[in-house]
Amino acid sequence: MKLLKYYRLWVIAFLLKFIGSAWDASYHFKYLFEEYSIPHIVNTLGFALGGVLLFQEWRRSQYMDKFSRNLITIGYALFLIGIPLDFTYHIAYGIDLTTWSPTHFIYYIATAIMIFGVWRGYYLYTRDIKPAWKSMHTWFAMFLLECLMFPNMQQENGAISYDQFINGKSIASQEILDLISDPASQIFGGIPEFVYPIYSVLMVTLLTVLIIRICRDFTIPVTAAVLYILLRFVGKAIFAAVGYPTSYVPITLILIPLVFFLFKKTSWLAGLTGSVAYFLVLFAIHKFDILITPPIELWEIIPVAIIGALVPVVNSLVRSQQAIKKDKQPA
Amino acid sequence: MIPLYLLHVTAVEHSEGLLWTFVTCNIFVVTSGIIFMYKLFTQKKVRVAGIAFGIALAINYILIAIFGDPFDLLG
Repeated sequence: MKLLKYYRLWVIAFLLKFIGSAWDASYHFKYLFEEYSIPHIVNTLGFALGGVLLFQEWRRSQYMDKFSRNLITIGYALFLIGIPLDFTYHIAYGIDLTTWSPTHFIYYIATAIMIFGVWRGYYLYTRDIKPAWKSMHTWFAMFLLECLMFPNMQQENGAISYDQFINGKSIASQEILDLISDPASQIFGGIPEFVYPIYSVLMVTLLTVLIIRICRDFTIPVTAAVLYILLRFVGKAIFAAVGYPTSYVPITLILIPLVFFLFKKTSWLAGLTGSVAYFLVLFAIHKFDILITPPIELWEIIPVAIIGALVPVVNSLVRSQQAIKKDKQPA
Repeated sequence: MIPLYLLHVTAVEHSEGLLWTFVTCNIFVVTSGIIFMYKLFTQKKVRVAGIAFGIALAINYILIAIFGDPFDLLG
């Protein structure tokens, strides 16, 4: 079926972007500059494949509605704007050693819009079939999760790199080591440590609640998180095999969509339970040195729990407002 | 926020003239980009806005290729 082939090619395009960006994040914990920029080339291959697929839709609208096509184009335009802005940022301040820089966020937002646009097109063109985890919905949900979680790679790579650094076993190149004057801050990208768990809970809970609301399916967020964690482990194994910096894989993220799946509703209690479970297991892994995780403190459970409970509440309020508006419309 | 990020970058010498040239071109690309994206979102005709955005991108990218490296164009 041509439609499925078209969207499978989008999956390949986003997978290439995923591989390139994960490779790039690992790369910069070892090297500062790159001569041939191979991770960027892999990323660009995915970008170019998507560009060809998008161009095909502009020439002849076949596999998606025009608004989805326009959304993807907005993502592409924003990404292309990000490149010269990032270059200027580098002229002004030099090469930034953090995923959390403002111009890097343009790339993440642009990629998220692209994924959302493609997913919307797929959703509308397969609306006769109920969304299920065995479909491409799982892939698009996973790509969106990966895109939202990408800034955390700074903390997840940084945790292992920092541990190696303070134990005198750093595998970073000399040009990186020469730049380090404040390792605890620089390696973690200048972000306060409480940002990591709070950002994770906010994004994962929000994505889970929205997927459940739109797809009316509790399994897709769980399978997307499983796929994401699986691919992160594959990446970690490859990086370890070739001597590249590896990262902590955020395994406890799975608990957030899993609790929603077990509760079978997007209530505040499910959000609270999932976020607290995510945090407590992560804290135990950190406290008992089971794995090297980004640094966290126990007090962070309070904002984590509040955000975890609030996201489903806000979601239900937005739904109620829409229902009220609909009711007020004349027949 | 900016001083926070500045701790995490390499302090390199740069020409103020070059910086302001790029900033000016960036303003052009951002303005034309916003108009283009707005027209896409509201599903209006985008031909003229798209051409203007394309020209702005081309100017910015040519400058990057001249003053930087072609690999910088990969983002």
